Amino acid sequence: MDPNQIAAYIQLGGVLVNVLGASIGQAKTLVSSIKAELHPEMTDAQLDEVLAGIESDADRRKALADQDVKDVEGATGGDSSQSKP
Amino acid sequence: MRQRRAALAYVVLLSAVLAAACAVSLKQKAVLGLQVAEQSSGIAQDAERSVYASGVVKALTPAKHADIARIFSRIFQDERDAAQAMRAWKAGEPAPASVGALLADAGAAWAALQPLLADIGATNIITTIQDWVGKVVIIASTVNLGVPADVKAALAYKPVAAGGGD
Repeated sequence: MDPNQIAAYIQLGGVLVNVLGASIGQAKTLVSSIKAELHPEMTDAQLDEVLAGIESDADRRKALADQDVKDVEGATGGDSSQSKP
Repeated sequence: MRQRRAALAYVVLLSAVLAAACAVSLKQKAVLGLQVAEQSSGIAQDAERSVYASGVVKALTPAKHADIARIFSRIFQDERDAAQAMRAWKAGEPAPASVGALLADAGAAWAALQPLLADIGATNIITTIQDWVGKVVIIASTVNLGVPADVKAALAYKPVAAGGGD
């Protein structure tokens, strides 16, 4: 999270306690609720789902690239590499 | 008394907010950053394949296309490895080594792709590759990895439009 956002949440907590007279417990709950609403954290399962999507797409695209190489090599009958390191 | 209470409130809120904000968010940022980077490399691959398939750029010979495809193959393997490592990454652990490998290979991929693409005047594809390098740098920065000089140079590169390009 952006340090400025963290600072803003802390200031908000200060206002709740010092200006509005909330208890520390109430302020923590309120700040947590607001933060969850504005900056939702993804669960491990959701992150795993995103990662699975990345792996799947990367696999597909790697296969596509490998096939492109094979196609060229098949057409030229051997090593097509021009730009040797 | 009032000041002491306020100070205590700040300390309690600071620790609560920092605890909630840092550990999990770091992984979330890195995962979402990798998702964007992988999509970005896909856009670059699509752009190159499309130009090759069109046959418009005569300088993009089958051999050059194959060279570029080999580099893309490596890029997607790196991104897959990084995704796999992130899956097992727990909060508080150092960033997976494969993120560093992805960053290093981004520099190598750029070094190999940029001259190939500049040679055929494919300015737009160079820009998409540069965009991808930028996305990889964002992931690396998220996990506090230093950016190597060759990657910084890639980001600073200004493509020069050439005639007969993409």
